[in-house]
Amino acid sequence: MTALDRYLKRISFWLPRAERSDIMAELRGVLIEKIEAAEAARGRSLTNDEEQDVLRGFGHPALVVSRYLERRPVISAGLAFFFWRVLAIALIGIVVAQSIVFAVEATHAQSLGPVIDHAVRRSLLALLLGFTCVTASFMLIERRYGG
Amino acid sequence: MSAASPTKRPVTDALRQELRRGTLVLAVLAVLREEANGTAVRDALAGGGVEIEEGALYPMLRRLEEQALLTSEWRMEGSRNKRFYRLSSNGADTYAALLVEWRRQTDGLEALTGEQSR
Repeated sequence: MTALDRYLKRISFWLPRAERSDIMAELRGVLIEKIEAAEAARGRSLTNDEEQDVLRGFGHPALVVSRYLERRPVISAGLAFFFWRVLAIALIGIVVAQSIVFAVEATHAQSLGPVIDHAVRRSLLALLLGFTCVTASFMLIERRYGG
Repeated sequence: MSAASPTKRPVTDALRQELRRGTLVLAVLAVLREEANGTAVRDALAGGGVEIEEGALYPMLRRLEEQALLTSEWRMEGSRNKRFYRLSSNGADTYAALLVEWRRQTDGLEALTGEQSR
């Protein structure tokens, strides 16, 4: 396997299946052209290291992939401030509510062990639900009203 | 005025990149009023003093095609099958609109900065 094949394989792995063959065909052609131009300038075939230098000049595979995958953010920068603020309020609210419930349960419990265990499980679930609901709501707002 | 802080240069670079990003699309659309493959687009941009990393050019061409601003077709050139791009009719309209906007902004900036086109 040549340096070019390895380079293209690293890019190909991350590309969406539907677009992969089309993008790879174009990139392969472009990179072969670059390698041939470098060979013509030197008047000989490139060594493996020289071929890698040419490929490096095109960009790190991860960077090339990231440029192809550039999409609109799930939550844009404009909404990010409100997202973090609402998320913080929601999560603090959940923690406060769960603490109150825990305090009430603890005062009536004979043993604290099961109450703590139950409270921790319930709180984690509530925090996860809170995070999911807030994030999903903002994703919908972004999709509906985002530019 | 205080001396330049170490963070000043990254900020300037980021702003410069932001400024370039919009005009880069305009430059690519300008080049593709005539059909060209990616290498020819890069060479034409470089000839106009517009630098773009090759690894960034092809994703950009693809994105512009997804936005229906460009059309492309594969064709043999020499011994190799190459992809040729050109403006779609939608792309030509967008190019004209962006050009008007760019001129309006340039005029405004020249008035604000007191600079004249050279």
